[in-house]
Amino acid sequence: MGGLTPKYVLRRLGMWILTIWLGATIIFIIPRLAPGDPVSSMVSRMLNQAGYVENAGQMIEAWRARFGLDGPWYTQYFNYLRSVLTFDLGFSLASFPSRVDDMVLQALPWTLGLLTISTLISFVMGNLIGALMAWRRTPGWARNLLPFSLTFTSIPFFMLGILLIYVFAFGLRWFPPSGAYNSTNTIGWNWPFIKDVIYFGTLPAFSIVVTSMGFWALGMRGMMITNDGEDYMILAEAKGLPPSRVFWSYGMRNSILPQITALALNLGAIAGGATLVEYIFAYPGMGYLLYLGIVTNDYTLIQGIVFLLIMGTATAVLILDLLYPLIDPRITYGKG
Amino acid sequence: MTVSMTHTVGSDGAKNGSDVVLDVRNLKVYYATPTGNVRAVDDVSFQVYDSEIVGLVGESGCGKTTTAMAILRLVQPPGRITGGQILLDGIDLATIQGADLRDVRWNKMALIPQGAMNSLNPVMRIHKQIADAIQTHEGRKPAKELKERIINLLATVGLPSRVYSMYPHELSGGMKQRACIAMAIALHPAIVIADEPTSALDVVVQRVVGETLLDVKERLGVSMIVIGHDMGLMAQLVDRLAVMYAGRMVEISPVETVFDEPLHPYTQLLIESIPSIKERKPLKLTEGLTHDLRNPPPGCIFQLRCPHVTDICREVNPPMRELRTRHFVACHLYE
Amino acid sequence: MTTPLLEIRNATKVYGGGFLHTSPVTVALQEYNLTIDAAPASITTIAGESGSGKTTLANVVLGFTELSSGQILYKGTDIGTMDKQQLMDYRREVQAVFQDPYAVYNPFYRVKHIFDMVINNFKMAANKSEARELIEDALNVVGMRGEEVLEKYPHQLSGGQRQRMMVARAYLLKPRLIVADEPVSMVDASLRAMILDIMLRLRDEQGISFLYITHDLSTAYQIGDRIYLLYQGQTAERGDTVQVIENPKHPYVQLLIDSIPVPDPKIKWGGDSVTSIDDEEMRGNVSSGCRFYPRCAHGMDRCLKEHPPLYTVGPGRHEAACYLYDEQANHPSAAKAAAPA
Repeated sequence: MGGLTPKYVLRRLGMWILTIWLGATIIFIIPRLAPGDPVSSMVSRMLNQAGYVENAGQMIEAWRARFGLDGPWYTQYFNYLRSVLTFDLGFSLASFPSRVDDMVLQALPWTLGLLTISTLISFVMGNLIGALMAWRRTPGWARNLLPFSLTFTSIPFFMLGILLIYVFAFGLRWFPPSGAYNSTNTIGWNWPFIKDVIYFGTLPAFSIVVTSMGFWALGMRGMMITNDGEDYMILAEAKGLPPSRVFWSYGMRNSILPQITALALNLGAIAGGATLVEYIFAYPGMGYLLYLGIVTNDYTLIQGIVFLLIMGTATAVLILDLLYPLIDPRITYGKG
Repeated sequence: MTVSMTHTVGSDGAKNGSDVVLDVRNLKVYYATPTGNVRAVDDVSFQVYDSEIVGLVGESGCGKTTTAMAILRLVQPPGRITGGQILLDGIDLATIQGADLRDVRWNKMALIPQGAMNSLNPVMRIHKQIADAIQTHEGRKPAKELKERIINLLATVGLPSRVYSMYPHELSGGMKQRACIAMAIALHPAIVIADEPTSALDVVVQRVVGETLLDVKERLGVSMIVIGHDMGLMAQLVDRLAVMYAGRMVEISPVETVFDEPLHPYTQLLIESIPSIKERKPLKLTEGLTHDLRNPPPGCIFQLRCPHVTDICREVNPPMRELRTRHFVACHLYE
Repeated sequence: MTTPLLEIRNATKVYGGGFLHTSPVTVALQEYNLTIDAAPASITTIAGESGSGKTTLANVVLGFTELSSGQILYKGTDIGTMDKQQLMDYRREVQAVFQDPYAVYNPFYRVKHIFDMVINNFKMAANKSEARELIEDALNVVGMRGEEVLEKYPHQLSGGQRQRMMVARAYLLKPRLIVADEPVSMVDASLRAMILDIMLRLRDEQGISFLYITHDLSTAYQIGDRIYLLYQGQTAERGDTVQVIENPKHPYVQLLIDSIPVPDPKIKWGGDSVTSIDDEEMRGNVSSGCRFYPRCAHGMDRCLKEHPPLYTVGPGRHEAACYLYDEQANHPSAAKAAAPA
């Protein structure tokens, strides 16, 4: 078995760059395969709305030059790659002259905060529930109660969201129905603002946790059942280890490995936001931004968000590859 | 490795066999199924004496592994111990529960699992798994003392000290199995149960593991029950042989005696069907008809396959009787 | 000279290497040669420990894996260059029986299904009653009756029954060669004899040859005709089974045979105490020379330079790949090791 060798790190980094480059290229190609171009379609939409636009032809030319759509494809491609490298995601088509980078930078922290925390909570609770459901020594009463915690899994995200808003926001008035903070507070590391964020974030986070917990629980339950049949579990019991030690160090420890892969991919995809939840709660995160981009045909915005998503996932896989041999000694840095 | 493997297993088991270490009395283990109880172990009695190896043999499904699991109290539902006593140091293992049971485990009885793959936790270093057993029962120890003790244990079974910090997948099959032996003897248990300890190992490695077991027995004076189906291996390893058939014990005897003159027709069949590398002989064929374990016929358990079956075999279950010195058999032929 | 039934020529199989040669290379077979004569039908044993390449050999003969280099000739034709019809014939005439008789059955189908599939695939019967007759005939050969087993599900059969059914399935196609990969290692002792006996009968009564792949020298000794002992992808020793097992020449084969537990409590494990020579790590790959060198008690400088060729060591084409038997060199220790202990 080898330690973390420079060769391995370089190889993984290479894969990471390759993935991102491929992703970026695909994002570049796909809109260009569609008939027409974004600018013409924008203008024709304006035409539809206003009935008449003065000097439409000139306007299209001007805009194309502005967005760099007038050169041959390779010039466009290299310009595009250069701007991607510098995280210059260009101007938004729909809300010109806003820059996509600025829009994303505003939305990203909200999504990261909401989704990271709720994904982690969901991961911990779901795995614990799943493991306890599968474990032979779980007390009978717990075994009977645990499945109830997963009933909400079968309810779609948005339905639960609407239900929560109805009960807790309009009915009980415990939580606000939408938004992320009170505009009277100044944004920053001050207590009223942080309190606000938690206050506004509770309902969306709750709906994410409750509906995604089942995914983790079912995966964990299956892993625990398989793991329970392994000889080392029997040997651990024969050694007279306390049940809690068998549960944590032999059961959970071994069953959680595949779950961690899934968690990394989930965290990587956070950059894309949780569109439906953010939409329902009018939460100003990436999902909401993506939704706006889609309804306004804002190609550059959509491209920017998808690019971030690819970056996020590729980076998560990179980190996972570098860390996995530490948590599963059977995987070594030597291979692949 | 410089572990001396000189062993002089006395052809005389009696030099040890005075003190009973483990006394299994009328053990019954039944598996509940929708169509009735499967009598996996039915009224089995035997003793294990001080510093001896008892071999428990029989074909798959005869109840030998279930017997061992019952002694270790590891019978999994729907199976359960439905009767009998398992006396070890004055404690009845068949009935103790909870913390009392956990205390006895590994302290007094340890397991060497099957020679096949997964008996060690794949994500835990070897020393951690051995330390787990030690510290659970003896409390926390200073790191240095613990390390020294574990390295000594590894040396006892002929493993180099670098195994200490290795993971199971870095060891070969035979080394893994020796690590399991080291773990089993960590607390000087009164009895070690080895369940097919060399199955799935290559013949040379099988021999290394077998010789390690013998060496450990000689040096530490532990009693062992070795479960297996390879009669050749049994001849090399054990002091006494216990033969099971369809959940019942049919013969127990010192190993030399039983190989010289097997009394029970089933034991005779087992010994005759050992493939030999000394002489090429015609294959011995038998019809492998077994009864339904849920409904054992009245009388002898072996009647359906026995070449010497008589009327009494179909009516009366033969009791275990001592026909020669320390040679017990359950068969009507010798009445 | 007649064309052999099966001939393996200079077969080499290398695993690993991978994309851009990143993963370690394992040589499973190296320049391996084997011949099975067309007549009379025979049982050829391939024996060795795990990792010796014996399963790789079965897989290449059955066409599950391709050789890295070398040829497999069936009745003189390279299976790599066979046309569709020839391949079809080859697949029919070379059958397999595997170690785990449960794994090959689909648990959701009745046992009958496995026979029906074969008959349909090779269009062996015109109608149902003809098919039934063929199946019944095949089952009779292994001592079973159709009504007892065909309508059952795999889990309702015993291990011995399942394995006999597999032999019957193979027999159904009237093969010339059956590759039997550890067919009795998961079967109880009393049933083992029955399956070995079926193999003998198929050889003698039906003229079917066997490539019997096993780690168990004692069953090979009971039924085998020729034996090839593999060590890390190369033949260590080969010859008539009785000759080789009663009078092994290669130090590795001597070690193997000494290690087999004798079913007699009065004869304890013989030979050298093995603890010192077996550390399985010592099986590490040797880049040149004899692969057994690290474990060998008779190692010479020569052994490290070049892999020894097969030297004749006894009657009946008994050969061993060991310099101890190089007559020209006539090393003094040769006589010592060659003499049976």
